Amino acid sequence: MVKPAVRRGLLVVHIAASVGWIGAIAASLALAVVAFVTTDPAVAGAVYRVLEPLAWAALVPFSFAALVTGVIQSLVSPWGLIRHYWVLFKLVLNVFAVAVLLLYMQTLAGFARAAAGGGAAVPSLSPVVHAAAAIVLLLIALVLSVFKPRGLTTWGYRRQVEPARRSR
Amino acid sequence: MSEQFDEGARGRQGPGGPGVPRWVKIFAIAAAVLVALVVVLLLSGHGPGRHAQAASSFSVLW
Repeated sequence: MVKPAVRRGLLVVHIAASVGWIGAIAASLALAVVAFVTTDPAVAGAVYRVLEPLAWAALVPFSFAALVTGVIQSLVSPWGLIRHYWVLFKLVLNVFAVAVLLLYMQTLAGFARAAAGGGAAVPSLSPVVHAAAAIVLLLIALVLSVFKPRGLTTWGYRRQVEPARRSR
Repeated sequence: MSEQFDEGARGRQGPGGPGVPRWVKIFAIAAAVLVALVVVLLLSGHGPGRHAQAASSFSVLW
């Protein structure tokens, strides 16, 4: 069994990665809103050029770090990875968000290429919508982490009752 | 994945199994709707390719 101090350390790393991910999305959302509402095409172009490197430098690393540390943290804690519905839902949310992010990198690359081409960029609502949706998903994960709504999965239930049956 | 393990959060335990809490059903329905929405958007042409094409045309349009 992993020592409590190690588990706490892993939890700190997981929280730090998750907070970093939300912060990076918030920065992306703020930039995307600026690009969408500005009347200056040069400003929009500058934002679309910076969104892609920002995503590669912060969004992608933090998202993978949150996913990996979350899985490790759950496996070394009594909660388990698929024993409780709230942990399972967090895992699904995290995997879904990472998958959409990786797919969306192609879009951000397209915006960056277009802006770097010398022409002025047309404001797009797409980065705003995707960043806002990502924040909503991560806030749902945050609420699940804090409230830990009860509910054992079937697998978690079996894991809990079988040792008790054997001891009878 | 909190360090503290709350015994009260273990879930209901009926004789036949744990049962599925209402919040899980609501979340599952919301997740299914979300996935269906993504699939519909991808099938209707919304996706990375479309955005990339649109983005690359901006410099031409402007």
